[in-house]
This record gives sequence, C-alpha cells and structure tokens, in this order.
Amino acid sequence: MFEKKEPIFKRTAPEPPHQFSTPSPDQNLSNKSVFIGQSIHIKGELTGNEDLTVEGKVEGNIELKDHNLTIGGNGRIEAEVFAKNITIMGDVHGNVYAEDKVEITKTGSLRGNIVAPRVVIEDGARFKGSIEMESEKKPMSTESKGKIGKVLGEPIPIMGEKAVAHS
Amino acid sequence: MIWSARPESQIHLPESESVTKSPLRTLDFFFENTSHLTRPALLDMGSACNSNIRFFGQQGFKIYVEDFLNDYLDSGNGPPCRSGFLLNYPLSSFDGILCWDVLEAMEPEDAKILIQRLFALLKDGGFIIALFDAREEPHAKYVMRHKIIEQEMFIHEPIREIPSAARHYKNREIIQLFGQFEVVKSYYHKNRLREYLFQKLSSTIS
Repeated sequence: MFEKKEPIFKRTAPEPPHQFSTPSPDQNLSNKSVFIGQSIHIKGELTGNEDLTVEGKVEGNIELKDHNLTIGGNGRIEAEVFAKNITIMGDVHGNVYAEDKVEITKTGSLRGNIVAPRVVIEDGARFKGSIEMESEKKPMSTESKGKIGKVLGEPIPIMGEKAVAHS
Repeated sequence: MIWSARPESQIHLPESESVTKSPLRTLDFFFENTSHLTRPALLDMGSACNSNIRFFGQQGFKIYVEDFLNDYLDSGNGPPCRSGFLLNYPLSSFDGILCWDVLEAMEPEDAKILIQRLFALLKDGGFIIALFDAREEPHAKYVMRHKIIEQEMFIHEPIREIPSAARHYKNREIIQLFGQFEVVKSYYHKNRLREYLFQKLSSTIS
C-alpha cells in the first residue's frame, strides 16, 4: 500500500577519517618552510615560490603559487590569501583561495570566504563566510581576488576598507 | 577585529544532555524542491560542521556559514540583533536556511527580529529547516552541533553551555513565530526534537 520513496539526494560514499594537521608543541616548524616568527609584523604583499609558515602578523596579500601556507597557532592574518594548500591554526580575516585544499584546525578561525576544491574544518574551528568547492583547478592570480570577493554582491571588507558592490 | 577560536571545553553531560540521533525527515522534500536550481545558496546559522558542509556541498549548494549563536553569546556590544548589524547579506539571497536550535537561546524579542531578517534574506519559494528542543521542563541550554552523519540521520552534540536557561517554545508558538512562512512539514522525534520545514511564499519584505 505504501511505497518507500528513494531519497532524492545523491548517496555518497563516506569519506575516510581525515588526519588533521596538529603539530606537537615541540615541532620545529621553521625546519619545513620559510618561517615568520611571532614578533614579526608585515604590512603589504607577500609573494614567494616556497612553503611559508606564519606565526606573526601579516596585513595585505599573501600569494604562494604552487606552495603551501600554514598559519600557525599564533599567526594573525588580515589579508587575501592564495596558495596551493592552506592550513589555518591561528586567526585569519580575509578571503582564502587554494588550488588544492583549505584546512581549518580546531584552534583556527577564519572570517572570510573560501574557494578551493577541498575544504576540511575540524570540530571546534570557528568559521564565518562562504564555501565554494571548485571542481576544476584554476590558474591562481591576484585577479581571482575579484572573484572570491563576489559574495552575493558584496565582499567582506578587510582592514577598514569599505565594501564595494560588484555588478 | 579578528575574533579568535574558542576551544571547546570538556563538557560533562547529565544523561538528559547526551549525544542523540534522529532522522532528518525534511531533507527529501527540500532537495526535491531545490534540485532544479543552479548552484543554490544555503545559509547555515549554526557553527561550522565539516560533515554538513561536505554533505550540502556534494548536493550542489554554495554554503554560507554564519555561526550566529556563538557570536550572539560572545557579543560584547549587545546582541547582534540590536546593534543594527544583522546578517549582512543582500535581500533575497538564499534558497535555503538552516536554523537549527538557535532561537531558544535568544531573547524572545531578538528571536522575532531574527526571523523577520531571515524572511527578507530568503528568496521567494525558499525554505527554512528549523529544529527546536521540545522538552518542557527547565533544562540547561547548550549550543548544539547537529551533524549529518549518514544520508538520513544526524547526531546532536552539545558543544558549549549557555549561562541562561533555554526558552521553551510550544508548537503553536513556533508556528506563530514563523507566521510569515507556510508550514510545509513538521515532525516530532523520539529524542524530543521538533523539526520543521517552512517556505516563503510571498515577496513581502518586512
């Protein structure tokens, strides 16, 4: 008499458990990539061709083509961020664009929009913004800033800049 | 100003607050009525939950995470509802809104303001999926994480205790609160959770 309807939504295979990047306090992050220490405060554009770990404060833009960016537990970022893989263990205020993956650990917080094929957010992480998981890799450039800024017509302003509506 | 992550405390729960499971019954109808949309926008009023983001992302939604309740409780300048800054999105932005266990922790007047704002942010024909705790007896209130673990089931985890007792809404009060919406579906679960699907039918903006 009653037919059980198949659910309308797509059935997906469960994802294997993700191992989050939570280095031990003794781990020397400076051995693995360029390291910006806790007392360093940078204003402006940061670009490079190697991996970067930030434990200090950066305001502006960070662009690492084909390389990884790690915001350490003490890192404070107010910037647009572009990298291959982005791991957030500290605080980020700005839009984030990754060619491969964005990961926010339980000590991390992000206020901004994410554009990346893969996004992983650990329980306990704070996040406010939109997530767009692109299926195709796109060339990374600062022109992408306009794209990820188009959040329903208004970007999230950073560093006191006024929100400008995009057409 | 950068807001920092608040590490989740180790919560020792009484039995009444243990993690529970329930089926999510409104999702079928919601997906059936949004499957024709290209890149529908979904606003999640709760805190970021990886499994939910992945689940709705795989269904084709662009997800906006608001983490409203944590901000509401953390706000040092008065609740966001009263400060004039409330969900800073253009009108008629979203095809769906998840309002899971948010309203009971708010002042009643703030809850009404929030509902009016959600109405304005929803597109015509858009849906709100709302969850309420149906327990009538006084109980401690927690910010809850409602995590979708399988296609038709989700679990409810308390993650942060709220200092004040929860406001309890009866069914008719919930219907009245969402008076601008049409009630499409409503369920009462064994774990005493009420689940509603509301739809905005009018373009009247309050």
